[in-house]
Amino acid sequence: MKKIAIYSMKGGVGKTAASVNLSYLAAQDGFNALLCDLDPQGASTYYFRIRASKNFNTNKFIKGGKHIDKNIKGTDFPNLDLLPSKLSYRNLDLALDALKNSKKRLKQIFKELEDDYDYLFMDCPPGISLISENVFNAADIIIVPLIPTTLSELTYEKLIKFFKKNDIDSKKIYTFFSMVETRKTLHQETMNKIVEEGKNIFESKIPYRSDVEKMGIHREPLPVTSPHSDSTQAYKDLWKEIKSVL
Amino acid sequence: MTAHSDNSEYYSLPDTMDRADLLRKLATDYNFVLNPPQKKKEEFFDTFDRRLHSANLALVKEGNSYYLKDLTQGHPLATFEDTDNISLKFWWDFPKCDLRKKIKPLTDIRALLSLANIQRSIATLRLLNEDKKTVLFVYIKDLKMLDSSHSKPAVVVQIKTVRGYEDQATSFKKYLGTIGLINSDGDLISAAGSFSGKYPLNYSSKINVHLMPEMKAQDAAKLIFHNLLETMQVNEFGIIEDIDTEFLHDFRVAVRRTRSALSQIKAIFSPEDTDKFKEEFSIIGKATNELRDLDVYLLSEDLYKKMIPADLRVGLDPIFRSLSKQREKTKKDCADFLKSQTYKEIIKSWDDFLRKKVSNPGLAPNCDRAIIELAKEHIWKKYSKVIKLGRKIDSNTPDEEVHNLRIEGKKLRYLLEFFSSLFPEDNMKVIIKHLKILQDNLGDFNDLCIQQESLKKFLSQTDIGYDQSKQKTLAAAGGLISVLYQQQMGVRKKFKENFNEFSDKETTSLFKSLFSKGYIKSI
Repeated sequence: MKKIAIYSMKGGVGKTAASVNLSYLAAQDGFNALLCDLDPQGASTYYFRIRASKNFNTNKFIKGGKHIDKNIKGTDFPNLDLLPSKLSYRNLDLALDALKNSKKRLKQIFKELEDDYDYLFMDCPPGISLISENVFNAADIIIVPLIPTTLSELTYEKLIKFFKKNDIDSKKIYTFFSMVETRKTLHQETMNKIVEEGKNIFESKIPYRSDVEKMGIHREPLPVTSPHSDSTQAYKDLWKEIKSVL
Repeated sequence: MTAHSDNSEYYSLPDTMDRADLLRKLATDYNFVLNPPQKKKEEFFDTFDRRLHSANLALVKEGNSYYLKDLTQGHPLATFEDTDNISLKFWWDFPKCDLRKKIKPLTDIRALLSLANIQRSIATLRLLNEDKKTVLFVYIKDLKMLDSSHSKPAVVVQIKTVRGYEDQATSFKKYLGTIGLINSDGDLISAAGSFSGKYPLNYSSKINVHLMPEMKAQDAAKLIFHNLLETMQVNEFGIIEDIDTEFLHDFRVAVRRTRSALSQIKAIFSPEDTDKFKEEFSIIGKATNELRDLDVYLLSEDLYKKMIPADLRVGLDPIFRSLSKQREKTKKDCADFLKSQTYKEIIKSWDDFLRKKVSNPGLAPNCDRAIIELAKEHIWKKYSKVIKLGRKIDSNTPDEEVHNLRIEGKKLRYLLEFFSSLFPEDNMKVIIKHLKILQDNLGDFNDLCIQQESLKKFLSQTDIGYDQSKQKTLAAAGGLISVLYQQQMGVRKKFKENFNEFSDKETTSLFKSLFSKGYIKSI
């Protein structure tokens, strides 16, 4: 099972859209995929019209095993399951902190799902916290959506520094440009600069489009609602690139 | 790739309900989205004797793709995409792939026939909750056989639970029960696999009659003859269309059994009738001899080639080319014979004869005797003869006597098969198993003799000439003859061992208890 984290320190960069669409595309390829919504806001969960069970909470999540098993839900699409998030995930940091091996718990939890899925996607909450560190340790690849602006560029550099300081393999980090507006000169210039200096940058760019924005209204993956749009094509290209580096 | 188990359950509709009725009913009680039915055409393949179906498999073609499916679960075990649209008749026509590997041991030398064309129409229903989330998939599948006009579509409802929404599935299943649907154990694919189409459903070349001990001998014999006649008739088309070599083989076995029964079950018909039909079946046998011989050689091509050094193998090619050319003509002659008036008249008069009620104890003293008596008498006599002949054979006995024993052994085998329903199944199995070991030995011995003779005959009849390629043929044939000879000697050496097994105390006393006078089958 390959574990893919969609992560960014900043919010609103297109993490959930990427998680939903990429996991859907993986399942469409015939692979068994699980999307794990780690964000207490539960946007992925909402997009799939799923609600977590009343009894599910942070403590159960941290316990893992059958507690996770019982709470995985099937989406409307073949081969794609989702582990819904709960608002109580906002306490995930505290709960993790109380554990002995607090930085590697997520990795252990996912180990038990190893034989059930080919791909596990993590839709991560923004910020940099204990849960993020758990994600970094658990994931085989950390994909960072980057809006091509100066501010995004800065946060991205901070992330690399954080990896180095905490002795986490920064080679796991991959980037793609998200919400790209090709008409904006700033976007174009920033992208050129990052591509020139950076490493592990996917070529596929997700354009800024209203159909991506509207995913919250349709509550379905983009390839379902707009199968022929250029944004769908961009996600398909991106998924192909991701598969090739795994 | 990981595999998730399929949690599907199946239901069938009561006779009074069709798909539209079910949908109307559901619409009043559930909130769902209906995807328009998707139509799929499927073609089912199997051998004439349904070897895939017996192994719980189905070979299905959809578009250009072949799927080997498990009958109970319906999921494909292997697939093959026929992009070049090649004609696929035998396993060896498939390019190397998993599917070919799987069907090879099952279909062996039998051809795949298109048994049925089926149209499957699948409507998908998604049951929704208040968030419009799908909580249950319901597939309503119509299945219709295209080649048959009278078949009413069969409808199956498949319920696929969505993980995490098991409660909704449970309550829906209960609901289906209340509106009259019945839980069924599988997809329609198993039903489809058993569609008879234009071929018999339970074909077997084995004799399939149930005799009663006190039955009159003539009546019992007629049952056996009729069964054999049916076997001949269902195989005719396969010989005429040259589908595979087993049609002729099974046909000829039925002919041989008929001839054997005519001479072995004595005095149940008048001598005049018996002689007439013996003569006529011998005509049928003769008309098909050559084709069977050629089939046997051509089927052994690979085996023969493996017997001689690699560089000599091309030398056999002219021989097989010539045999295969000869087969083209012989095949046509054989098909012509089966279509001929002569053949049709033989079959018709035999069929009429078997249906006629005649009892003439004067000319046929055994006709009204109980079949069990006759069966025991004949088997015991034949068995004693086989034992007597076999005991005499040692390493100095001439080949003719070994052949003689083979023929007597075969007669015994047929008798046992004709009458097996009169005796306990377990005992008959043991007896036939032991006899078979002996027969295989004698059969191999005979085949090896004939093969050497034929090769020699071929070499003497064909003008080989003296150029280099012809010399290779000579060398290859010579090499082959000596390998066959060596094998023949080996088989002969093993005869004693195999015969002793057949004539051991256990088998002898089993024969004695079953067939010597005084035995009565306990019912």
